Amino acid sequence: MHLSGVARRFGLLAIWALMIALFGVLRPEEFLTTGTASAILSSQAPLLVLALGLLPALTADTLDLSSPATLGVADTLLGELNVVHHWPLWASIAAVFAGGALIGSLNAVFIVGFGVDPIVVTLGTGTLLGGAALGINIVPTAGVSPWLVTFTRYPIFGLQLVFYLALVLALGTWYFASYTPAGRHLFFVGAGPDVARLTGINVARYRSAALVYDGVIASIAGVLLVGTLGSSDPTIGPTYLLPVFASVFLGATTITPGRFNAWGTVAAVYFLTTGVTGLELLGLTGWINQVFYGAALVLAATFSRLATRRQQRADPA
Amino acid sequence: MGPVLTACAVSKRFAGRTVLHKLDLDLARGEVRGLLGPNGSGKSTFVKILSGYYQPEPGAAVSVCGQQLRFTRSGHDPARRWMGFVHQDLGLVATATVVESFGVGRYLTGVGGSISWSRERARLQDALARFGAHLPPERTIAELAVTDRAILAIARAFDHLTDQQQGVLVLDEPTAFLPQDGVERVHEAIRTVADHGIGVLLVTHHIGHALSITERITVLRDGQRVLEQPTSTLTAHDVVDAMVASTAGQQPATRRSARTGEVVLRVRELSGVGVHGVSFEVRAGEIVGLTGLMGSGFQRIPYLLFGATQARAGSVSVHGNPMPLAHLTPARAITAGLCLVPGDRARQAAVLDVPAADNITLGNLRRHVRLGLLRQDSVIRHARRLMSQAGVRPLAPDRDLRTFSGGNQQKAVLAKWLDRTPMVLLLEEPVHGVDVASRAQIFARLAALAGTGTAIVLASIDHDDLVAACDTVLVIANGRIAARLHGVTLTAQRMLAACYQTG
Repeated sequence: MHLSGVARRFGLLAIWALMIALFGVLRPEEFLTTGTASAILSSQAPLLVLALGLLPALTADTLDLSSPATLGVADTLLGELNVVHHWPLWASIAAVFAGGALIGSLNAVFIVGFGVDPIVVTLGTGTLLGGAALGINIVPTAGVSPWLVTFTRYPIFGLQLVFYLALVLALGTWYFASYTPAGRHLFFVGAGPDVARLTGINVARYRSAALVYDGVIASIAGVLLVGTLGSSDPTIGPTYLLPVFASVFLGATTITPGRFNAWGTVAAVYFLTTGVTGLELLGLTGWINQVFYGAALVLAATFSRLATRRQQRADPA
Repeated sequence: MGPVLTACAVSKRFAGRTVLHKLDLDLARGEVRGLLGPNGSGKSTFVKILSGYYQPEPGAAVSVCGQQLRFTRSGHDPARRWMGFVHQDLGLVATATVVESFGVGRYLTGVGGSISWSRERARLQDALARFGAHLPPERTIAELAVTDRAILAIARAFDHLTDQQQGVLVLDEPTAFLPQDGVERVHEAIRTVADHGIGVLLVTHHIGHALSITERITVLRDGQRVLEQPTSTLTAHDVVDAMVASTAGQQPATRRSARTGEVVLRVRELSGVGVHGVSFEVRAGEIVGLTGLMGSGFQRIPYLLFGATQARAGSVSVHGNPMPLAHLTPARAITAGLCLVPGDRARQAAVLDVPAADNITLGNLRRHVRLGLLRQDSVIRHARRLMSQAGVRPLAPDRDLRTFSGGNQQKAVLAKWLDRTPMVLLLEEPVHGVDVASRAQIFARLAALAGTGTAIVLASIDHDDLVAACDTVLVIANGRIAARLHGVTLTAQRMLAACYQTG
């Protein structure tokens, strides 16, 4: 592999290390603590789960802008069922997962079945779900079953269990993409839908499955979020929109540049949250979140576009 | 008065291949000239040089109304204001209205740069009146009859000329999809344009139309002018003769003629978009060619048989087993023993930015799974074996397919499908954009495959290839079989005649 190839694959990790060093020098007593590291890794695990859930849909060249809102509905619904209506935890979680599958199926019906543009469909369903979350309960609900909180926060080597769960999902996503025929079929569905179809691959089925999967994973992320925060919040879903898309697009520029990939997404999620946390410790609070994620999304998409263009120019047509 | 168009020594090469060789062409004021030639003769290339899409090789000189074209890279040239173009698709947007479409590009503006729709409407009515047409200005293009669309496009191109007394109008197959009475109306429109003093260059496949409307006919073959005569001295057969290469195409090629196998593919009354009631059979070991003019429907037949586009009616059986034509999908066709090698390599046959091995093995990945893992080493090994059999160079399965030459890409695509040893192999333009050596290899591979009993259907516009490769060739015209050629009747001459329905 050429040096430039190494730089492209692992450059983000190097910048991440530099960033940690920089914040460490500027704010050594606050930033370079195991507490901060543990907080970043564990608290952002639901974001990582949400981002990983999006990868199959993006790989299949479709899109789900509604997944942050699905997370929000799952989060709110869990609090409502478990706390307000006193459903047992297992029944509440089962209902939330079923809801996630239903949302994914609805997206699939409109996008794959009727052929409507996925941006339009999921912008619509996402907005609808944002409203639905507020309709379920307008205020945050505390007091969710301690079982869930204990489970997600269960400490292993100083980190909460939820972080390891996210890593297992990353491992599974990577395994699926790299080591299963279905994963490779899914990639061809996105990279060359006509090629896939004429090879006998059912393009519609793969896209639908990716959208349903995304709905389910987003609802799992919602449940885990309730566990990490200990309460549910109907306004939290939409705040994940930019972080999750900045992460998956930035993730596609690293590890396996040019493809949405699991380990790139892991790196991107923690790269971005490290940046935000460090900047907040420097005193830039409140507005920095949106500015940072917004800029990261545009830059990530630009870098990934430039990378593909350079690759195409290097190859003789 | 001098000619409105003078083209001198116009040449064009693509990747070392000459597609247009020192073409000279003059067009007088008010002349209607037919430009004819088989596919790949250089007609379209010449039109694209005139329109500025391509730049010619150095040494070419083209002047329009006395002004030299400069062939800048951008294609922008003041001399082009004397020229108008109507392409086959007419350049009309289906959802735009007649008046919007007519003025687009040079709207008449009023106060503050806003479009003056009343002046636009008046101008539209004036322009259409000259062509004896009346079209409601607010109707959308989608609501117009196809003939009216063609006339609108011609009227617009004429109206946009800087000078309606002299100039050049290039019409590229404007009558390709018109009904018979529509053809006559469009011809009247062309006459009207010429009567104003415009030189009209009519590029067409339709010999009958060219004979009825033009004053002179120029025929190109292999990038060179092979005929230029006043239309009154020509017959349809003269034109066809000029189009066919004088030596190569007239003798039937000597080919192994096994044809002893049983019928593998039986197609009865197949109909779909652009295809009407086509019936034929392909025996084991037989290669059946499909050809016709662009748009005649012959290219659609493999896709209908494969379930890639939906057939409307008909029945198809493979080895006597009927295929469910109404619910046919590519997956079901593959199960039934069919394979399709699409002609559009970059969009339908392969993903070029992906390693060759991943492309070649896509159809059968399960065989590379061991202990729940897709083994990439097994994928690469298998791909290397298939590439070696197919003669793909370099033998580098992990390189992106884009880095291979066109011929090697095509051999790799073929290797993907031949991994399955299909009962019926459908191909569309398998040697399009492929170098000479690879072409020979690909045809040898097909002949060898036929030798093992595979039934092959080969759709191509290259008549010489079909003569060399096929046992039988079906010529399709307007979606129907116009001729079945085999044995001594299988010549490029007969194919071309059947394409133009003059034979």
